[in-house]
This record gives sequence, C-alpha cells and structure tokens, in this order.
Amino acid sequence: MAILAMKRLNIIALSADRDELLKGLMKLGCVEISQPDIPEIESDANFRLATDESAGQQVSSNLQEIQNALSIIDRYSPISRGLFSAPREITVERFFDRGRIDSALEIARNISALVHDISSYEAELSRLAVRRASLAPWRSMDVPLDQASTQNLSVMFGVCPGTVSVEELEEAASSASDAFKLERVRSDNEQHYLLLLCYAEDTDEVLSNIKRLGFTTVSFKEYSGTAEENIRRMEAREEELKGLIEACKSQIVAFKKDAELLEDAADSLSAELVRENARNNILKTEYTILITSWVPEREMKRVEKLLQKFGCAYEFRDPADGESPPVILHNSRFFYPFNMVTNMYSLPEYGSLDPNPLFGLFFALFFGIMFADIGYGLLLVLVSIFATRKLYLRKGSMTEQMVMLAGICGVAAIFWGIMFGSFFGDAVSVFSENFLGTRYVLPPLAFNPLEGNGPLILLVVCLGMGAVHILFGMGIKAYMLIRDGKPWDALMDVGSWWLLFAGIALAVLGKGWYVALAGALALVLTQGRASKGIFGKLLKGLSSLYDITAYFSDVLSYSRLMALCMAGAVIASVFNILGGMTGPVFFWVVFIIGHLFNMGINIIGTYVHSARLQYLEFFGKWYREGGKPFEPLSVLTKYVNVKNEQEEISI
Amino acid sequence: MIGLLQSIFTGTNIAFLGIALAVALPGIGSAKGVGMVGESGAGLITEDPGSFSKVLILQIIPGTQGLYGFVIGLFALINLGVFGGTMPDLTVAQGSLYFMACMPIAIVGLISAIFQGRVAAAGINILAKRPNEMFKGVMLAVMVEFYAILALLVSFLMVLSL
Repeated sequence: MAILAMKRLNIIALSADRDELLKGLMKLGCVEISQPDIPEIESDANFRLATDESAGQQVSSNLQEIQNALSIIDRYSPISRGLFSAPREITVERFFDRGRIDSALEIARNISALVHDISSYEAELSRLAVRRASLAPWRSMDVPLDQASTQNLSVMFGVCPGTVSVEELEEAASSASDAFKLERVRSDNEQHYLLLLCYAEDTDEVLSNIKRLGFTTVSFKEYSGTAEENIRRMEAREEELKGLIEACKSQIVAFKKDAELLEDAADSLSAELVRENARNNILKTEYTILITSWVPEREMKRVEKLLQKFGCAYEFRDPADGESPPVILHNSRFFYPFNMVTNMYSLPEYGSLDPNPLFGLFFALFFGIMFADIGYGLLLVLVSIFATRKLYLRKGSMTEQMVMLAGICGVAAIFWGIMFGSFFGDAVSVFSENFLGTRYVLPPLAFNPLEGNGPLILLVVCLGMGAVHILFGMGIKAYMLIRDGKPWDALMDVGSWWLLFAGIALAVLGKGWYVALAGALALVLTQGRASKGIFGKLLKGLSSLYDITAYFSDVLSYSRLMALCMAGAVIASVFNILGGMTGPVFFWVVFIIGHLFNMGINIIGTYVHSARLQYLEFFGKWYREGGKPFEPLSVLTKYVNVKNEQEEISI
Repeated sequence: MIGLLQSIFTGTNIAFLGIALAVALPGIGSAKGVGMVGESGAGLITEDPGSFSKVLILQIIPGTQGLYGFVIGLFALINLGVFGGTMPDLTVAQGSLYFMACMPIAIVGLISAIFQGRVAAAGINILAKRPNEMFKGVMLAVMVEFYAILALLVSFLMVLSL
C-alpha cells in the first residue's frame, strides 16, 4: 500500500547489556542499525566508535571452519537437501546454545585434521609411486642396491643412452682395464641399465672412458636390499596408505550424522557475525553505548517493550531533512509479488510513492497480451498454485514473488486468450479439422489477431493501452507535485501537455487546431521558466515542443506488445500444423514438445518487455528511485528456521 | 547459356532458395551464439558444477533465432502447398516474392543470434561473479531478441499475404 513510515531511534544502554540487547533486537528483526551521524554527541560525551575487529574475525574464522567441514562431508557423501523442502525448525535456546556451537567446532576441527591426514597420505603415495617407477628397471637384478664396494672391487650402477650399444661400452672399458664385468640389467626405449664391476684401482680410468660414451652412475644409497625387495616393501606401504585413506574417509562419512549440528552452528555463527559487524556502528564510552537506528513506525511498540526491559534511555523521532531512511514496501497480497519487478529496478525514494499498486495492473495486462493464450495461462496458474501449496518458498524471497507473479500473469494471459480465441494457438481448429473431420473454430470474444485486419486492430489496441499508461504516469507526476505543494508546476508541466494532446485529438477528429495551439503556446511560455533572460526562456520553451517526438516514440514502443503477441501465436500455430500433419498419436508428441518450447522461449521475453515498459516509459514520467532497502538486524539462516516466541514482522 | 540460366532461375527455385536461406542463416547464427555461450559456460561449470541449470538458461537464449527461421521456412512450404502435393509452378515474379519474404528473418536472424550470443556469454561473467544478479544478464540478452521477433513477424505477414 505504501512505503512504511520510519522513525529514528537512538538508544543509550549499559555496555554490559550490549550483547544481550543486540541479541534481543536481532530476534525482533525490525531494527536497522545505521552509522552514527550525530557529531555533537560524539564530541561532547567522549563517545567513540567501538571498532574491535578481533572478535569478529574469530567468529568469521569459526564460521569458515564449519562451512569447510560441511563441504568436506558433502564431497565424500553428498548431503541431500531438497531445493524446495522446508528448513528444520529450531528453538531460539538451542540455536544460540554455546555448547552446541563448541561441539560443532570440535567436530569441524576433527574433520579438517582428517582431511589433513588424507592429503599427507596422498602426498606420500605419489612420492612412493615416483620412487617405485625409478626402481622398476632394476627389478630383475639380484644384487642388493646397497652392495658396498670392497677394498679391491668397485660395484657401480649406471645408465647409458640407448643409442650406445653395450659392446661399444665394453670396448671402451677394456682399453682401461682387462678385468671388469659390465652387465646389462635391462634396456628400454631410451636407455640401458647397467651393473659395472671392476678392480678398485681401475675404477677411475674405466669410468672416464665409458662416461665419454654417455654412461652415468646411479646411486641407491638410501635403499637396502635388492630392487625387488624394495619394490615389494613400497607396494606393501602403498596398500597400507590406501587403507589409511579409506579409514579417514569413512570416519568423515561417519560425521554425516552430525551434519545437522554443523548446519545449526553455521547459521548461529553467521547470526553472531551479523551482530559483531553491527557493533562496528555502535558508539561507546567506558560504561555506556549509543545505538542509532531506524525502526518502522508500526513496530515501535515491540521495540519499546524490549528497551524498557533493559532499562535503556531512548528516543524516537521523525526523520530529519537530509536524512534518507531505508525503504520497505508494504503491500496487499495481490500487489506484493510486484516487489520483484520494483527491486530489479530500484526502490523508490523514502517519501515518494510505492509503485506496486500503480503499475501492477498494467504489468499483468501487458504480460497477458504478449502471452495471450488460455492454455498457456492455465498452465502458469496451475504451476503457481502447485508451487505455493506444495513447495517451501522462503517468505520474502524472489522465488516466492516469482511464483505468485506467475499466477497473476497467468490469469491475465487467460483473459487475453479468451479475447483472441486462442487455446494453445489454434489447436482446437487444427485438431478438429485433421482428426474429427469437421473444423471447429474457438470463437474469439474480441477478434483474431492473425486473421484479416486483426494485426492492425491489435496494433491500435496496444498503442491505445500505451497512451493510457503514459497519461496515467503523467497524472501521478501531477499528483506528486500537488502533494509537495507545487500545484502550479503540475499545471504547467503536466497540464500543458495534456492540453496539447487533447488538442491534437480534437484536430484529428476535425474540430480545428485551436486547442492544440493553445497547448503548444502554454508549453512555449512555461517550460523555459527556469532559464535566465527572456531569450533563454523563450528558446527553452520552444525546444520543449521537440519533446513531442519523445512522447510519440514512447507510444510507438508499445507496438512490442503486438509483435510479441503475434510471434507467440505464429509459432504456436506452426507447431499445431506440424502436429496435424503427423497423425493423431504423434500429434500429441509434437504438441507437447512444441508448446512447452514456445512457452519457454516466450515467458522470459514477455517478462522482460513488460518490465521494460514500466521502467522506461512509465517510471520515466514520475518515479523517484534511489531508496536504500531496509536491512534490519535479523537472524538470516540458510539451513534452519528459528522458532520465535514473538510474532514475525510482516514485510 | 541463357537456356541454362533460365532453367536454374525458375520461380520455384528462387522461392526454395529463399526458404533454404531463411532456415540456414538463422540456424548458423544460433549455432554460433549457443556455441559461444556454451564455451564460456563450460569454463564456469568446471569451477562451480551447481551453476549448470543457470548456464543452460543463458545458453538457450540465442537458440531461438534458429527456430524462427525454421518456423518461417516451414510456413512458406505449407503456404506453397508442398506437403499437400498441390504446389504450382511459380513464375519468376512469384518466386521472387517468396524469396524476399524470407529475407527479414534470414538476415536479422543470423546477425542478431550472434550478437545475442555475445551478450549472453558476457552474462556468464555476471553468473560467475554475482550469481544473484544473473537474471539481469538474462534481461540484457533478451533485449537483442526483440529485433529477431520483429523480423519473424514481418516475414510471416509477407508469406501470409502471398
């Protein structure tokens, strides 16, 4: 019905009561704590901002921890949560219970420790995999990797590129020593894996000879036993690690039973975080705090009761000039869903008009004419009824508004569908002609837009509705000017135009141009009144006549109603014809897919164009946007619904 | 040579060329538009698989031009009596009229689908950074659609008048 009247509320309370008081205000959910803007108090009484961020940081890191834990549980064992199922009910005491939060935190820490374990096990697994791969070529060698060289015998492992043959190496080595053994353990595409035995005294020379051919020694200092033994050991350890990881995972999955506790705690902590953040806007001295806030006038009683309980000093006052109180729109059930359209644009300024009751009917009518079909409208209404009855829609959410809006727009679509005789396009006549033998046509109450000069009549109807819409918008502007005590402005800015429009209408009817000329003269004389100098005034006045083209194009813009209406009908009828060609059974397949598709592509466009006509053509005439939304201190929950002993504010 | 040209540019052939273009060009545009949104959408889904259904809404938006072209093509074929077997031999003048009737949706469908695809692909960014404002991205993309609807309507009215 209106933009709710707001009161400025200043509270002085004892510092000791702060947290309990904030908790109480939060439960009421109708007080928005705003930044203190009373400089005199700030300087006089040594009030200063209570910026203590460490507590807030602690809360937010706890919250983070719990949310992490929840997402980890969800990863290993998805927590099923219906999109439209109602959240759990929980009592206030349980919700704020410190003990439950602490045990949730304990669980969250356990879970993050388990995740830490898993990742360290996984790191070890991948290290083992690398080492095992490097040992794999030596597997067939039965010499222990840590076989030490003796005083006389050198034992060395090495590799050389596959392009060099072992014979070449042996030849190179034989020039340095006459007793050595070069054994090929294995070869793969890239290199040979070799074991070299030779006298200790020849070692350096042999090595320098074969190194020239690309031989490099490999050291296995950290291993003991043969390669085979080492690989066996690693495989055993890998199995063990995999077992450990599985154990950790199943432990995490076992915590799923505590998911609800975690969710409760997450919601509780996010409420606490809101409270902590609110504290940043509170002024304090050593023993007292000063809260400045906004309260809707009609909630004053409830807030007062709470404040008296805490023995606070408080004052309610009307918003002063220059202050911009937050805005809540309060509407009847019928106009409430249009909040969705208003919110997407911008809230009205405090003290201007609530647009919902003003544009709601137009919005529905425009939506209906673009979506004009009895069948489509019925489907929308049915979906809306089903969703409101069977699904959980959070109060005040955009989804709730969307569902309710679908119902209203569905009724409008049915209305226009009856006017145009459209039931799933021309399904009735196509079906009866093809499968029943006689062509039965659903008679339109007004006219059929696709037949004869239907398109032309439709265009006139659309432009006519547009003209009414625009004139109504101008009327609202006049009303607001008169309400603000500027009746002369209303007369000059709106009256002159109306005189001109009326004159043009009369001239078209052949009654002469006198009225139109009077209107134009009024515009030339009045529209330049803000400019300086007689020439400036006259020039501005003359150029205002040019705005007639803006009104003209505004009205033409409503031809989109016709275009979208007909496009929808055309596609629907083509699907019907297509279905009619396929036979009585397949008809229904084409019918269902085709019409669902047509509805799907049309519904978004219809909404957008209906909204656009409000935003540009209608709001452009009078709307004062820029209100900031009312954001009361309240418990915003994701998983649970906190049962409150007090009644909830109905926004 | 002239005989060859005359046998190619018969009225029926010209009409069918128009119908082919009305279906093909918007189809190409839609395929390009839907493809672009799909590419950027796939990137988002790797980060946030839950956004799939919203990405899908943005992706199908530039797909409608293809349908509009199909609707006009089909309607012209029906109007010609192709399915009833009653198709007359068209004169070059008659065939040209069908060709011209197909042009609005053929041209506008092709170009608007590509531009709409670009807007919708940019909408994926909105979805990635501010999921709650995603519907505004949808609105921006739908604005482009309007001109394809106008073309569809005029093509339809032209074919209807033949």
